[in-house]
Amino acid sequence: MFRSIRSYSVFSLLLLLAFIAGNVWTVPYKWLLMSAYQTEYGEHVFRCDNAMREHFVAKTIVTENLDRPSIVELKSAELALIDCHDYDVFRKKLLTMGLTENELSAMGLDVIERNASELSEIVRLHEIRY
Amino acid sequence: MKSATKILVFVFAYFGFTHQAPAGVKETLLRNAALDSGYLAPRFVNSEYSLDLSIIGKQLFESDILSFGRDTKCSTCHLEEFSSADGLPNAIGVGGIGAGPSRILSDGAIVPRNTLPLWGRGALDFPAFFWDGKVELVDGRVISQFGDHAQTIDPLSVAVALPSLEIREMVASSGEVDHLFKMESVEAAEYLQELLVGRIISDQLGLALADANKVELVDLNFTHVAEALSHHIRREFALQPSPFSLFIDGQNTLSELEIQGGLVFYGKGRCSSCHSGPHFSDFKYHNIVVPQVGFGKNGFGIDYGRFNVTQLPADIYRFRTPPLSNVAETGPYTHSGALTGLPEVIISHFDPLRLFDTRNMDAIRRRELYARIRSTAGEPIPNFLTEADVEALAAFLGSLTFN
Repeated sequence: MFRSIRSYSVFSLLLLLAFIAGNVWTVPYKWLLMSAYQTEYGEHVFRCDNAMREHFVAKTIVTENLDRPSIVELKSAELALIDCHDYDVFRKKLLTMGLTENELSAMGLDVIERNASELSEIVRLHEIRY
Repeated sequence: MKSATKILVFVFAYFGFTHQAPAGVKETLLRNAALDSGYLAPRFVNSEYSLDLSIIGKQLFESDILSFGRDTKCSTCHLEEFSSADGLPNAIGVGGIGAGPSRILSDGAIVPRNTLPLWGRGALDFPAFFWDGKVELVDGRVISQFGDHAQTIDPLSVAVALPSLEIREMVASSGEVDHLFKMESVEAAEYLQELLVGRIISDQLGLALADANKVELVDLNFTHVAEALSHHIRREFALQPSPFSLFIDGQNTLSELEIQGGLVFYGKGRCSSCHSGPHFSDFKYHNIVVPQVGFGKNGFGIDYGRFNVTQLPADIYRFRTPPLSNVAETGPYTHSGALTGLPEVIISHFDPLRLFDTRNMDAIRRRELYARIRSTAGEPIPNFLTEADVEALAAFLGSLTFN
């Protein structure tokens, strides 16, 4: 009985050491981190993408039609890019917490492709454009 | 130890990181955007008033002497407890009993538009009055239903003269009145105004009004009455410092939510495309698709808005951009009073279809809705706003409250 408990303790201790020293702990940690922040990260990705698109459209409108309403719209679109600043800061937060660029890319891809139900959408996202 | 450090870093990062732009940056951006959009502190906007006239104006405002049937007052629909509005979707004019929501249960005449609050109406640069701008200052001239007969170049004084001439608002429909108003002439309006002035002359208010104007009692006319009301509005409903105006002046901070909402207001919400300047209004006419409750100015649930003033087809369904001072206190909202909360109003600007259940509408009303949607072409559309954006925007609008 005693031997059995001691063996079990040694095994647990070794496992704990492996978990700490061998960075095994990062596997569940990162999984938890990515799961916890996937939704919020997705919202940041969407907001920034939206803001950039709207800004591009507003710039195009000013180019074609330089009047006061267009300029006001462009200024609003510029201010809306604050969402991209928040997105960048949020990325930095996740990097600081231990996620890598590759893992963030994977999280971003999950958001971008979430609604890509057709192959054409997958192709659009991944094809090389010359 | 190394792992313990990692865990500490994680805990610090998790709880300590704001994952937002530094507050200072956002505050500066908000201040600059507001000033760029023409925002001015109230002290630069309010106009002067005569204390003597404002005191008499207040008495007139709270007296039934200006209603033809002596059953309605200005203060019937501009109540302190509703921040100078009445808390109802549509105003209840003559024949109504009580104040606020209880008035809706009485048998009063329905005035088919939402009562507007009075904040800032006496300001120097407030050029357009009522939902459809039926009194408007254009190039130094007051455009109104009085044509060239307006007795003053002060648009506020012309505007305050109108309710006492409006059937259902302060004039009860009757054989005598209907006959008088059949031609909708300026002469008929002047006849009614002379009658009201005669009442005031024979009241103790007459002497005070004559003294304040330094004229003989017999020389009083309705312009004196209207100007006294204007001075009361200039004094009582002047713009005052709000948390937002103090923030702009650097004397106050706003909450993180309010700042976030302000950035939505001037940024992706594109609210400041129309809600600009010191009153948060461009005083132009725009079309936002909102439910039309009630009978409508044009009957059968239809309100053509600005078209009723200009007769220009392009103005159908357009309404003046409402100013936003104290907006959080002045619901229900929109010309029809159909929306009770600020979040709904915000949603109506970028996702109006969420507010309609077309399956329960008959074909006539669906067609009407379609026509209104079509007429919004050319209006600025806010970017998509999340629930969090809407909440933040509503919080920001709350910072415009000083009442």
